Amino acid sequence: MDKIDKKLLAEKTDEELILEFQKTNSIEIYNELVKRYKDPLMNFIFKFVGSRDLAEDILQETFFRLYRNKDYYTTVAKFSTWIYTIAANLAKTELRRRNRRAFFSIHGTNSKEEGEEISEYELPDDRYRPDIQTDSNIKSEIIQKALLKVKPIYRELIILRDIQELSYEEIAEITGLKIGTVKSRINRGRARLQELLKDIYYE
Amino acid sequence: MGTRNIEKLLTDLKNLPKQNAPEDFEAKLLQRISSYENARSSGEKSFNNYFRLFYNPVYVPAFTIIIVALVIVYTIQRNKIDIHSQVSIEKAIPIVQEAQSEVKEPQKISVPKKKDYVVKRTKMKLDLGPGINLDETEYSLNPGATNNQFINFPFPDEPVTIRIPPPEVIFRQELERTRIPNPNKDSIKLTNGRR
Repeated sequence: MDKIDKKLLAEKTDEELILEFQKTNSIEIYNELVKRYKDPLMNFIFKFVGSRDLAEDILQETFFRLYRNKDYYTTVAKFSTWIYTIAANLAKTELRRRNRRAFFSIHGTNSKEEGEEISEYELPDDRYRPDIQTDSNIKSEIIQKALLKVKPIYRELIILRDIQELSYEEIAEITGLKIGTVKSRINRGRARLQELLKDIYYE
Repeated sequence: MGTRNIEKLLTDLKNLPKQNAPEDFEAKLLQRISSYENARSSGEKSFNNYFRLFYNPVYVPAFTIIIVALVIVYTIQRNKIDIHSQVSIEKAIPIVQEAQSEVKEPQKISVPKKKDYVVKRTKMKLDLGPGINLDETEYSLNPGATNNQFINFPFPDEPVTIRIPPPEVIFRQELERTRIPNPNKDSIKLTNGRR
């Protein structure tokens, strides 16, 4: 199976591809999976960690782990939820590590609530005052910054639901939570986000 | 914040600019994988070379049997106690003799005599309430007395008399005692509940 028809690969489902990759260890199949998931995962990780360089590292680690641990995949789970779980766990671990380091740094965290972090890399910037800026790019940036101020447990779910548009069932599978918990946490996260963005979304 | 604002927020979240992986991402990833594979295969090769020197699948069953047999023999030898062996008896005799010689005569321990205590009786009158008269004696300790004195305790010859008045007398006395001077002030009315 040295030469695999790319058209044929494109028609296969993720689950078929990973099972075939387990059997053949073919790099073409692996590339096909990477091609399918690199952008959505990059988007998810970036929104979660807020740093492009860090997101790239985590993304590479995610696919590397997919290569190394391909045999751990079982057909019980969907491939998409499996790969999202790997990425989410890596991102969370990395954030925890960075937060521990930031605890001793001069920048620190200026979070109000316990567990909230961010702004560990940059100091508050007055350019992004919502009453002055109306440009959509700036707005997106403000939303992204606000998102990073939401607790990671809520942020992850908001990104998966409202940005990646995954179903509640898929999110529950990725996070290992019950669907009810997922829904309530998403609502709480949205409420927190609204509170942070009250200057933009005023009545 | 109203529902319209939530919808706006959700729309804005969906429309956030997408972040794509860099162009060279796949190339970098493949490079990392190939270096990992190289490292793994070289590690495996060196391990295999050493392993092949000692490992031959043909000898595995025989080798396993030998190992198991050795383990069994070792375990049995270690737990074996040879009771009838002359060597072990000869070794044991001096130890027993030594242990016997170490046994000493029991020493007599002198215990100091304790002072004996004797109970001395003194008469006293007990007040047990009206109508009851009981003569009783009080017991006290006399440290100078001996055991014989203690055993030959002089019990009184006179019989103890207890006089108990008849019940109606006791009742009357109790009634007298509990009578309240002014019945209108603080009285307990014993009335029949039924009317």
